[in-house]
Amino acid sequence: MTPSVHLKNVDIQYPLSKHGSLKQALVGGRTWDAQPQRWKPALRDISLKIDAPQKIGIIGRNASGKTTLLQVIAGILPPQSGNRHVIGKIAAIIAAGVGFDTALSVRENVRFAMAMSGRLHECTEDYIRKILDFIELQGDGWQPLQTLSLGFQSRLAFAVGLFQTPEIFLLDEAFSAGDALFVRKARAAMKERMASSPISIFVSHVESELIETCERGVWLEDGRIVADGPIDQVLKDYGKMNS
Amino acid sequence: MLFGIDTRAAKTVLYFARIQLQRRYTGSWLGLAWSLLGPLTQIAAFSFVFNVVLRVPLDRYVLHMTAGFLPWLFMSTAIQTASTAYVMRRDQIIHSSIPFSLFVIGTVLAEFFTLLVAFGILLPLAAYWNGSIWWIYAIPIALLPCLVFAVAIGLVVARLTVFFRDIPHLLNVAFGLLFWFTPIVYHWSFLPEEAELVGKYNPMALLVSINQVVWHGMQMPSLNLALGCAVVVGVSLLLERWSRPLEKRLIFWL
Repeated sequence: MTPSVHLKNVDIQYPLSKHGSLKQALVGGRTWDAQPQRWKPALRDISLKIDAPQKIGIIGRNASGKTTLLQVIAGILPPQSGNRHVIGKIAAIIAAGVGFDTALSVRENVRFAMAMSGRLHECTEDYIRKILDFIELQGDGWQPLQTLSLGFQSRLAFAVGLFQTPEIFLLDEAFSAGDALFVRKARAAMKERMASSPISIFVSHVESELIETCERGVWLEDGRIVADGPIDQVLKDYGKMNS
Repeated sequence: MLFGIDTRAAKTVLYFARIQLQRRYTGSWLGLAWSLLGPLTQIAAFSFVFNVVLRVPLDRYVLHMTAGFLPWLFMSTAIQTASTAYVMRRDQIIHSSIPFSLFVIGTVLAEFFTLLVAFGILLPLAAYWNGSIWWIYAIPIALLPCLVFAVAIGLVVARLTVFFRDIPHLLNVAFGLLFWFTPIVYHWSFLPEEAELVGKYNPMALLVSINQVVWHGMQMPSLNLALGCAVVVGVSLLLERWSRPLEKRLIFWL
């Protein structure tokens, strides 16, 4: 089947006051499933239809809902209302880190990250070796992750997502760390992966990169889609609004 | 489908169980042996107090107590550890696209594995005392209900803890109390008539007893006991089913 991402009227909101206590539930009249008093909307009525082949760039200011949108597409956040229908294997590089366990070895963390994305069966020795080579780690990867610098941990997080062979590739401003040489190498690898994936969705603030890699642009503002169209047109409108 | 997850996820669950054990014992001198030393010390202490000092009139007391204590320890530890599985693993869960319940099931399986290791020690002991080993075939019948119960209740408390952080503390208190209301260090027959209800309506008591009947009594469980256990397991599965919708919402509360 052709890979596709269909979102219809998706809403996501976060509770502002998190967990309660049993005292609140029993004495304060709050039941376990009671809605908290205040919610912060992150996505509002999002409808998006993406059929392969397509490269999409997502733009918007900070806290406009870009990462949340990727999390919904990746299946990490379930829509609170509306529908999500995705066909195809997904690989996502979202924010820094993939929930590593720093007490485990570097190798074990690669396996752990693959297990968390439901792809443990794909984690072969070859796959681990490729990742270790890519991040230029000295040694064979048996050292605990906590002995690595944050820069190397970010490299690892990026590489674990990058070396999967997805049909839908999600990338969220991934270059949080690394020296100039590695960043250049990572950008080249990222472009290659985007080109080879039937669907790529790329969140970035760098216009030149978006124009180079994407044909369609989606502009998010305050959790809503403000514009959806050719990337150069959307970037132009976005630039005007923010100038 | 079991506990709302695809059976293909079994490999991931086993992996999480292995990781859990690895994390717990990596770097320790005795490693997995610690999982034996703790229970063995407690068994020795209980045996000394109840068998030697108080002289509880029960044939093969150590076997009876161990057969009850090990499943008890497994269920109570597994459920308490599972209760924090989501809140302690927040960083992993918010990056994960697999069913979150796999983390809890992996946690319970890790505890189950340590139970099996402990049973490996108990087995020759029981064979020696009982003089025969035919009852070994009944062991899965005794252990399976404990495992299913621990997974089901573990999932329920893990979900509830996301919303109410008191749950693990409450469980700690409840298990501390429940231990003495469960015929582990004493026998059912010692319960006075007015206290029988406490034992009868204690779900853990039934699950512990089925093990004692097999290991100590060298019998297949009676129909009544088997039915009682089936009801306990059935209710735990219903509770798990009831709490499953929370799974979709908990990520927003972590």
